[in-house]
Amino acid sequence: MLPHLDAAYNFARYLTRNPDDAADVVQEASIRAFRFFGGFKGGSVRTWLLTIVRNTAYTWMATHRRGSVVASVEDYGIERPLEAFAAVPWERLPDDPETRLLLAEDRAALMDVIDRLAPEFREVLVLREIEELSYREIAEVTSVPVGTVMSRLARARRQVQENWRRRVALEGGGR
Amino acid sequence: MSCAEKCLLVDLALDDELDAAGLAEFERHLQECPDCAVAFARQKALRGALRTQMPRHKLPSALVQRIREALPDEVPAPEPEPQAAAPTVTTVEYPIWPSVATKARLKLLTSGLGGALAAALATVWFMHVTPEERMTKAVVESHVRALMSGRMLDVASADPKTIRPWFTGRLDVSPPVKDLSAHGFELVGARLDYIDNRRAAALVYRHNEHMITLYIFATPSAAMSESEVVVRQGYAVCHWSRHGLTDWVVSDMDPDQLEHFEDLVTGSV
Repeated sequence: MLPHLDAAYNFARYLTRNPDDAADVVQEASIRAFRFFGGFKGGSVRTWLLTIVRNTAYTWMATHRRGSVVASVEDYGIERPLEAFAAVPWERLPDDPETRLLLAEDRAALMDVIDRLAPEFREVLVLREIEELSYREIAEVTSVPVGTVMSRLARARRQVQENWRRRVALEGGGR
Repeated sequence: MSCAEKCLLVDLALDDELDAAGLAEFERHLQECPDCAVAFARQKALRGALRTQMPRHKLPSALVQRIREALPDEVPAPEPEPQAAAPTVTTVEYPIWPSVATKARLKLLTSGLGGALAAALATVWFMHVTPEERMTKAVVESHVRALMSGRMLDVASADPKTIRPWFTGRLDVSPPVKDLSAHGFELVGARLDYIDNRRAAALVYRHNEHMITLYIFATPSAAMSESEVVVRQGYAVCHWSRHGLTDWVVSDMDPDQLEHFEDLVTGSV
């Protein structure tokens, strides 16, 4: 239960990558949401709350972790043509994705891949795959046009595929 | 040579963002473009992996309390207007009613909004099942599911020296396993279980005709605590925390017997 606040906390966890920061962000966002109800223009309550969480998180990180977190796409060195991400083999996983991913270390590795995504990519991925928001709703939460959501999501996925493949290759194909 | 323009269609199709005509066109395209067909299959595999494996972080209960306390107490209350169409929020399964002050604030919010909308937001605050209630339900479900499926054990042994090492590499703690046969509680075996997004060692004991599951979770920051025995769906449940571990016990035994079992496990007899 408690669906929206759980969603808020989960989103904050992925944005801040830290439980303590996420707790602070959700607390502040909840108070803002509670106080500034007037800003709510209708639509989905969850989307509205997630928007506040996101704004709070980025503001919070900018003040509390000066300079270290609000890195741009360029800082992560992944502003590359879409073709660079294309045709990446999703090695091994097609064979038996469940068995492989059920292993705890693989889960941790996948999380690590997601954690290393640029924030712009990580947030669209979380909003789409966990919250299952539509492009339009994601655009609303992240304050960017739908077209940008589309391309960020596509890149986020290719980035995960590529980094996962690289990690698997690094492991040397054991198992 | 990949098909860059259609690559976005792969994502659009995956995300249900294509209309019927667009979807039909994409499906036709998949027939003739192996690159996109492969890309689509990979994206589906990735989606499956992400949706099953990405952790969904639950709001910690301490945070709920913190938020409630942090909310402003004094809010000037305008005249509340009756909201005829407002659905009631009293029908939720386990309502944990917030304080009177919070209720007043919710009423205030209700007055400023369309009824359905306010009710929707109110559920954010009302529909909170305590973590304890949720865990109680989860361990009872796990216990019953294991009994029904016959899959109680990953490792069958009455010897703690066999069971304890079995968890090495499967859990981030080495769960203490006690031989309580002298007290009439026969160790049957153990399994690895997954409850409320966490791994747990599930030790299975038998007492006469009763099965007992003892779940052990790693909870490094949990304070020492001990619960009363509660009965849910005919099963007695209790839990306690000590030394960075939290134990939950479920059984169809009498609550008294369960308390006795708890004393044996914690070593207080």
